[in-house]
Amino acid sequence: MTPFPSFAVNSRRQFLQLAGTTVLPPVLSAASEPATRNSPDIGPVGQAENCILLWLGGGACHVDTWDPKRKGDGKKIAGSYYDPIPTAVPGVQVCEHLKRSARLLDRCVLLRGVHHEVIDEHAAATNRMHTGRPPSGTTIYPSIGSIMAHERGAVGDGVPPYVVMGYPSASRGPGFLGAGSGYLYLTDTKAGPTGLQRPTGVGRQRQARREKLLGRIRRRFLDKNSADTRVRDYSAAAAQGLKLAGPRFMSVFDLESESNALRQAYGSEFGQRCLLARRLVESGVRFVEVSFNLNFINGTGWDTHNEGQQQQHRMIDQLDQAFAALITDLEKRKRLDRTLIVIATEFGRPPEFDARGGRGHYSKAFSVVLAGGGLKTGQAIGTTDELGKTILDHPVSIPDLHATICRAMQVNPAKELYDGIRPVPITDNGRAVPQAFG
Amino acid sequence: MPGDAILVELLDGVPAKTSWDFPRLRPVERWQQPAAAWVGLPRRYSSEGLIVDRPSPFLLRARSHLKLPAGKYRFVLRARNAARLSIDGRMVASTGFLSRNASGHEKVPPQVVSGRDDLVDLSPGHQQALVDVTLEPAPGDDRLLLLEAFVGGAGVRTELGELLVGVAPEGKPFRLLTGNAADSPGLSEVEWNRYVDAFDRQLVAWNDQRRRTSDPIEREYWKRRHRIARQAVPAPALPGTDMSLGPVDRWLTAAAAKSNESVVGDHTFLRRLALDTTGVVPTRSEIRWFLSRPVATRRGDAITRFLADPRWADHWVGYWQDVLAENPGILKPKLNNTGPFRFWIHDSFRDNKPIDRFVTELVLMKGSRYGGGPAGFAMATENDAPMAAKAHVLGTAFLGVQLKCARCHDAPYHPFRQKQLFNLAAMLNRRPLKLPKTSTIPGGSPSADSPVKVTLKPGTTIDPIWPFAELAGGKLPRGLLRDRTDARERLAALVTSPANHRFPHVMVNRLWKRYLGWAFVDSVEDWNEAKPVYPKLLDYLGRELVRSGYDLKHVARLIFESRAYQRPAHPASTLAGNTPPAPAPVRRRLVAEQIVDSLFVVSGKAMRTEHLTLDPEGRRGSNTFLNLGVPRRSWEFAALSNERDRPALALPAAQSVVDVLMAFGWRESRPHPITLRDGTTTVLQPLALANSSASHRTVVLSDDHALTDLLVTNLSLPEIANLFYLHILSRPATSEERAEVVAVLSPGYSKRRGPGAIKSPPPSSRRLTHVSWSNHLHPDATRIKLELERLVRAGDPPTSRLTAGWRERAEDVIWALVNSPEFVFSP
Repeated sequence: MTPFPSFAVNSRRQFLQLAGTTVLPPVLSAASEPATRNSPDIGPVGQAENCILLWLGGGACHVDTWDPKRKGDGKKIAGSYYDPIPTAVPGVQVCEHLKRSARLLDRCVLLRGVHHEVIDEHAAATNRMHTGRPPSGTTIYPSIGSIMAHERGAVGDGVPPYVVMGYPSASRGPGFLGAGSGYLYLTDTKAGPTGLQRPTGVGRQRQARREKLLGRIRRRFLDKNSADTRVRDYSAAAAQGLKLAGPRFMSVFDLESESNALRQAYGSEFGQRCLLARRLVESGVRFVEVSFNLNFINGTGWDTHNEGQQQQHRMIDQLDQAFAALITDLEKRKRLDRTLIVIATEFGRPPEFDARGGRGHYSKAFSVVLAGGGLKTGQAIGTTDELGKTILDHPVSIPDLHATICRAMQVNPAKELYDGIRPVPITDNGRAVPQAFG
Repeated sequence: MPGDAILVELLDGVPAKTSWDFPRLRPVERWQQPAAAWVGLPRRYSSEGLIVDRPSPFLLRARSHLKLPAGKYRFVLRARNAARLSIDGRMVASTGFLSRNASGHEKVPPQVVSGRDDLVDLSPGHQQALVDVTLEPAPGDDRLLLLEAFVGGAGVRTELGELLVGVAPEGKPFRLLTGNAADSPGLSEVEWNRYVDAFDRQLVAWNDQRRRTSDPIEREYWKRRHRIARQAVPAPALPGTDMSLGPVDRWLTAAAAKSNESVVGDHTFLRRLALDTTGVVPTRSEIRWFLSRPVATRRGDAITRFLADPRWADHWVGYWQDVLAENPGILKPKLNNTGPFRFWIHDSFRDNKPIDRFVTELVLMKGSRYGGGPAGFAMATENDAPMAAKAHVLGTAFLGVQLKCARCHDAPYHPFRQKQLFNLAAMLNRRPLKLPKTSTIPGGSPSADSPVKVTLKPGTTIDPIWPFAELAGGKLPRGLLRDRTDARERLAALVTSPANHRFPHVMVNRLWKRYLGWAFVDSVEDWNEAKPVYPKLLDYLGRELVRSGYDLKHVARLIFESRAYQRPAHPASTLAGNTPPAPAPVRRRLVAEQIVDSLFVVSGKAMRTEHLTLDPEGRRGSNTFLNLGVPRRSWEFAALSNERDRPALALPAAQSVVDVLMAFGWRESRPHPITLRDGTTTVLQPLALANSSASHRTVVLSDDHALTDLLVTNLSLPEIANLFYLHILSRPATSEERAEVVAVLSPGYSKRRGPGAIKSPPPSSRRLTHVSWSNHLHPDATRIKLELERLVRAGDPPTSRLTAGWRERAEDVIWALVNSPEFVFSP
């Protein structure tokens, strides 16, 4: 089986395989042991092997979801838009439309004191949340997904380390880590990942005809250029690519193979994405980002300005159903402790309403949810004031949030990566939230 | 005014109100054209030859005398913004004022279909007035037409969109209104598309002509400077006595860089030359022309022809976008974005602008900010030290000074201090600069044993003084500066002064690296402690650059003509070790733009993506929404900016091209300068060629595919095999390759012709989408975009002039050749 610790290909690896060597350099073997596992000096450490990031693009309102406050009126009186309900964790409430997740909240850690200072633009805040830093004019910082791909590779053989369900953007990219730590993406669970699905009208038989002809053409070119490692690398990549696009990995995208009951349990298109995320993680993908901003549900998606507020509960309900199904499914399959689920968004929203009953942007306090991953779950960390605007205790900066994800994933957040000769730590002095670890 | 032309005038000074009530205006631009239809306007250029913005709003006025006999007519007026049409002083049709929109909650407007074959459907984001008019008898049937149209206005971009007037005499088809009705173009979809293509070509020609005549004083100044430079830099005597060798080979021979290898064959040479000059593979007609030249002058003739090819500019833009960190954002740019100064780069290389002038214009940052002038370089959104970012770009691009580290601290592995970067930044700033708080190390001072030192405190004031006396002394030759008080101009002059030897060396080193794959100084952006290989050749080429008037094409020609360039490519691994590189190129993987643009040369198809904008209606300002147009070449793409993850904001056709570009290392986001892209080989690269929608378009034999017409002619199978190899790999097939293709194509060959007729290509997606920022939050917007995504995935409809079975076999051969490593490596 061909290992895919990352997308990068070099012909030395291919050469070793061709030579039938069984001893691979450690960096190339799948599921490499994290180097920092037993280093006691860098704080708490988790036990997660995979991460699923549920990304609520647009800026999900914390006081309407995970951090409910006294109720407002949708007009002049500021406050939450919904009633709070109790959860499986005594004393911790969430919004009434999160009723399924509420019952599973003992599998979660709510971080209610997340904050940054980027508010006016989605792309900039999205970039901050994914890279943990303000953009720089001297480099492009990698996303958290690419960092995981780079540091830990794929778990399994023959699969990519990092998959995005959503639109491609530099914020999700590998930055200075290079294309080897990039992602595979798809925007539609039915269509499958871009670049892997064969084009319209090319069936298996026709593909075989194509590959047979290409194989001969490539062989001749390789023979003429056998000394050229770049040519060999490219040919090796082509062979691995065809394998990746082959039935084994592509069968992961076949949601039809799951029971109807389970598919219904996950619910909407977003739910199906979450189900696919579970399947990807099981196949050995290290990090999956699932975006959820299907704006046709309520008009605005999570960016609930104006009238977008009125149907926000439909978004919350779909999130609730999918998240609860994912936790339950992973637990049943005994993967929850090894799979960290993160629900994040670029910022929260203020308790006040705008002129048409919606909400603006707010980043001085908002919530991020962690679940599973071997964390000390069943708690809310951090408190905000009576309207969710000021953090009263346990603030979590974005570097701290990244450090927490890193530690849960057994990666050292202080480790220096290299942009050429320039050392860049994974986080800028980020410190994992200690209470989240048992 | 001649009787059969439309006189077009642009008038400035229109008040930014939605009203036709304004004082008399004076035209500032004027030209003639045959028909009353526009799909864009020529650019306005300054007296320095730079793109400048027109004031917003402005008015387009078109007048013409027409011959229209008395009778009943139907007129159609189409415009994006307010327009009105009058005939003999009587207003017959008008459209309303464009309203700014920021909400995104409007309904998606229904597609306006004309319901008749002689009138193309209305383009999205446009208005239409259809009116019946009865014309009374007039002497000589002479009529005076007057069309006025608003462009721009408060808070909206100054884009014309489509503006046209059509006329149909009762019972007859619509035609565009022209002074001479006899040959006016029709308005059916096919005819309109043809007109649009012709108009686009005319715009390019107009822009070239306007630009090249706009700057006579500037040109004189640069001629004078180049005389000064030639006097300052004498030509060295060539070494050796072998007169059969060109100068490059003589310097190499003198440096003991000899090779017994002969040069590559003609086909390989031409493919290499075409890719290096035009950025795409040569066409079959170019190959045919080349082989028809006499052997003695063949390669020289080809070099002359390809150096003169205007696609030279297309191939350079992508390079400088990387080196100069051109980084426009089409939606609310906040990620260290610049303006789209790509258009200025393109103009510069179209004109083969002397490279010292190019640098000077960049440093002076004049012209349009959002419309493509070098002022766009001045932008760095959300960056608190934009001029430091620009100083860093200029240092790496033109001086070989890597100041990246100095952005926040003294460079640990370079002799540069943070202060030097901010000296440059202050020169660009034209006054002293304060070091911002963020321009230091996050989390405070480094530890005592760290190689990183901080010697500047945030808040320190730094003066605008030239910090690199070792590269060029502070004294400039007389005649360089026009404004002695301008620190920015002084900086430009110090970089491009003939006393600065580093600059020409950096530039010719860049050229050599680009064409040979290795360089005299391999770290092209960082010459610290550089020990060039073949230093005398480097110096010679640098002098040639200066002495030719800073003409890059002159140096490129010297390189292309050399045997070194024309030898077989060596594996890159041969560069390892301490021996100097052999006098031959190393094999390179083509850059993303070369691969994608060559795919479109192979298919002969237009890219046909959406306009690169999320506000095709033009109802927002250019500070928040750019429209970069419909790309014809890869450099015209930009990040598609759907960080919001809204399906309604997707641009599926553009995304299908961007996917391939990104797989091969193109950067959608360019917040910092680089010269060499990430060269990692990934599985996504061959997959992009195997499976992507863009490569599928290369392969599918639709009616508009370059090869379809040929495959229904009487070509024999071996001829078809040769055609495929020549068309895709620029060489004839070997006998083994021919036999292989013949074997695949034999079944069904004799009955390959299908019954079908030619279909026109599918309408461009810009006609299909009415989704714009104003309505993207409506559920219909998502539905339409998902349907577009599906259409893009489905690809072009195959021709029915070939039977499906045989066509698929032919497509499989095309697929295999495009997917061959030979296609993606330099020959």
